Amino acid sequence: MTTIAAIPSASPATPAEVQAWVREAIASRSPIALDAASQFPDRKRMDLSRLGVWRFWEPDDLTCGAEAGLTPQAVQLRLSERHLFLPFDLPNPGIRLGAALAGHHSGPLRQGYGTLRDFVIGIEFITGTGELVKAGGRVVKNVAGYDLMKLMIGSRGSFGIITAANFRLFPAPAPAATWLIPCSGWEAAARFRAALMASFLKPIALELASFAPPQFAAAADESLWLAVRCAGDEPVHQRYERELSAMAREIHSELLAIPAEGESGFWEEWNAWPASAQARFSAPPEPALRALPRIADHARKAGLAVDFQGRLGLGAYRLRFRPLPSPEWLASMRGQLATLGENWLTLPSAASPLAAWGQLATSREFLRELKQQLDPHGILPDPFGLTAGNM
Amino acid sequence: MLYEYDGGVDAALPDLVVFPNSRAELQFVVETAFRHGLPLVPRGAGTGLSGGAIARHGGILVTLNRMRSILELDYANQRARIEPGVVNLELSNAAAPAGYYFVPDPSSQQACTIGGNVAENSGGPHTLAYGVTVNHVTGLEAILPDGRWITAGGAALDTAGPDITGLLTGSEGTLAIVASITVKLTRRPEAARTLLAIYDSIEAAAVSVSAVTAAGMVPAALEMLDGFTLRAVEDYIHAGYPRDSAAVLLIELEGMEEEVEPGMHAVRRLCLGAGAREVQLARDAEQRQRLWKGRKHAFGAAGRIAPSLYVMDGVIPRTRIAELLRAADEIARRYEIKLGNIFHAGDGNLHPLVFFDQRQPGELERAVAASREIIAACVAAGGSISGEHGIGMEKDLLMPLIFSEDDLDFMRRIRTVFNPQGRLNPGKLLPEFRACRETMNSWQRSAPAAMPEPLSVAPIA
Ligand SMILES: Cc1cc2nc3c(=O)[nH]c(=O)nc-3n(C[C@H](O)[C@H](O)[C@H](O)COP(=O)(O)OP(=O)(O)OC[C@H]3O[C@@H](n4cnc5c(N)ncnc54)[C@H](O)[C@@H]3O)c2cc1C
Repeated sequence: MTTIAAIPSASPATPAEVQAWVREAIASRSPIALDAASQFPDRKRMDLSRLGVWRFWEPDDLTCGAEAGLTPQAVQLRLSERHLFLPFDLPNPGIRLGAALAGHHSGPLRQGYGTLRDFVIGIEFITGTGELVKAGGRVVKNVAGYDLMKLMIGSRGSFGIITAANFRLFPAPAPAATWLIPCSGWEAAARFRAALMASFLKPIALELASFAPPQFAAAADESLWLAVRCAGDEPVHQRYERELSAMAREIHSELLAIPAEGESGFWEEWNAWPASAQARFSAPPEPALRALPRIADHARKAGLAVDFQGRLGLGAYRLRFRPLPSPEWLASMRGQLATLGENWLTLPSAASPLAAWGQLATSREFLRELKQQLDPHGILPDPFGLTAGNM
Repeated sequence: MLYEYDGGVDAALPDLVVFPNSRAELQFVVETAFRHGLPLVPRGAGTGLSGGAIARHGGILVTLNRMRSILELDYANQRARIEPGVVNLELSNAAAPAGYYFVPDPSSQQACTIGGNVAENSGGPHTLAYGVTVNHVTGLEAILPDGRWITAGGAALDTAGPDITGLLTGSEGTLAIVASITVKLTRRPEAARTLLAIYDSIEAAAVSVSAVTAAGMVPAALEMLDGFTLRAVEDYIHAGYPRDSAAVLLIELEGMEEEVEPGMHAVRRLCLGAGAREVQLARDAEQRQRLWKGRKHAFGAAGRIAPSLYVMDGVIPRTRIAELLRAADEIARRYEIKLGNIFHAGDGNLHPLVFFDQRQPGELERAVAASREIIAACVAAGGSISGEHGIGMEKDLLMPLIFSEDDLDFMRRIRTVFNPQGRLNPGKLLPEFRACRETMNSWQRSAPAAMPEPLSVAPIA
């Protein structure tokens, strides 16, 4: 399958301009794409990067609001003036807020803080019928009306184009410390995870990768690598070191401390991998550790190389296949994984949305009714293949 | 009749009350209602405070508290799968031997069901640091009013497709009836410290809340009781709140020993700096439990002082608490009603308690009019009309205070997909504007003139 970089047809500077442009798209029956390398090059592409207004900031209430075209870095920079932050360590730092929300992206800090679904408190978007709609608000607790933040985050533009969001902020974390633990195999990784979960430690990141970070690559003869990050004062770091050392010994391994001066750089690099992750895999954390070796095995047999990295504590991983698997391979892999219980494997760069997503958690027929109701003209993106032609 | 009411002030008679024991029986009830075109109102324990479980338009009240099995406790993956009628505290008690619990802890947790918590997206004193119900639900199975089943999410944190779990949570039984719920279980913390900060002025207590928030501290719980309410609690529970204080803050810090100790000192300093007369540390588990018992039974204690009690629910930014309490006090004085305050201060979720006597002519009207002004003041301060009790039939007509007609219309379109004929929990959450006298809520009946003006504050813009 080829993806073609679509030429932006519009770059609106305000939500009102987005709205006008959507209305124009409805009138001219021209479907819209929001991503740069669209699977649908025939769609008109809307570039939202000029939506750059900082809507409000109440540092003492730990809340702020920003438009969809701002980058997370720009937001972080402003927040850092008051020692606040959004736990928003996205794999692709160039991504804009709107795309991060639509794609429900997150990074290693998800272990400690959750995802955007946990800290977006208000949202504004343009609907498929051209209205500007808001939900939620500016306060950290609010149950008035349906939670449209949840509907919009992760639906990849299917139900509306996000123009702004309000966030609950967090105090900048106390000094962080990180340890790397080489791990001899899957069973050891599972034992380490179980020991950590049974302890009182609450790391802000808990990761598993199939490859060594560059600075350890030369010494690497282990097949798996664990990384643990905590935040706190010195006594907290000391306790982590003590307990993690004991857990590492139990799996015949050791702790490799990342020096304090390189700690945040370590995570930037860790998170930047791979420049283009091609698949996402998610399952409850324990079955995930049984599924990943099966995926690797199945890939090897088909002549595919696969690396992965992700949230050991939560069961959410990114995978890189080389070369890209065929839709048939993906279907047979899903069939095998089904015996392990609930999980999903998606390959957004697959030829069609159906091949990419496989079975959706909620029936496609029902979601199609929702899509039809909220996007009756079929002008919004359809990444899950919910329009009639895709049934 | 019991099933005419929930925990709020509204009432309406259902035509029939049913108690399904299983999914199959639930399906039979739903299909029967669908065939006969009858309204269907889901109900848990009926502790809701916004009239959500009341059969406003009659029909079948589906009481789910007999579907109360804990289907699975999966500690390895930190999940539980339960039926909707499981009582909130029962789940935490069941998971306690393994060192786990279910975080959302509404003060009604000894009675309310998790199905009700999901429908209301309930909070509780300890949801400040760990999040409300929606942050702890990963999957749902639910039946639509036409008898079709839908699945949303699952035990995995990410599932393919849009987040329908998040959309259903907090939808107040207007989209689907939830029949099975997958929730996160959380490891109990190693250490907890409970502080009681005592104040001679309510203003200083409010300033302390703002100071703690602005300092970036996120305690596990941060609750406030004013002098009037804490004295009512003392008469009833003997929790140990000083009767001569104007307000107390109940603050809990949780985590590893190494984190809790310095956190406690920092919070103590902030409270004293903001004008606390004294900050006491609960000596032992027994004293800690007593302090919390007072908080958790405060509505019950308040209910003993006046024949009628109206528990309000509004939210404001945490920087505006002192100002809002002053405004509420002024409103109460103007309407000559007695007001108490007990609330989740750490997340700005106010619960003004309006004491009145419904039997006295004009009192309900005054109580309702004053309440409406207080909610409007929350909105004007940048807040919202409900932090956790929901909209139900209590506040449906207040929705235009914070949402435009386009916002509401989008929500109606969503409801149309799930609930096309509007027969599932009719007259809730979204304004109808066509209420006849029988289906009016107490706001409409008692103070029609006090209904909201069109949107004046756009919270997100
Ligand atoms: C003393 C007291 C203290 C309280 N403290 C708190 C508090 O701290 N925090 C808080 O958030 N709330 C609190 N509440 C309010 C109330 O307890 C919560 O809203 C609770 O979640 C309601 O649960 P329930 O089982 O009683 O639901 P009900 O009152 O029976 O129903 C509530 C709503 O849920 C719907 N519903 C119930 N079950 C289902 C289902 N299976 N599927 C779909 N819809 C369903 C109903 O239709 C209704 O709209 C308190 C109430 C009281 C009386």
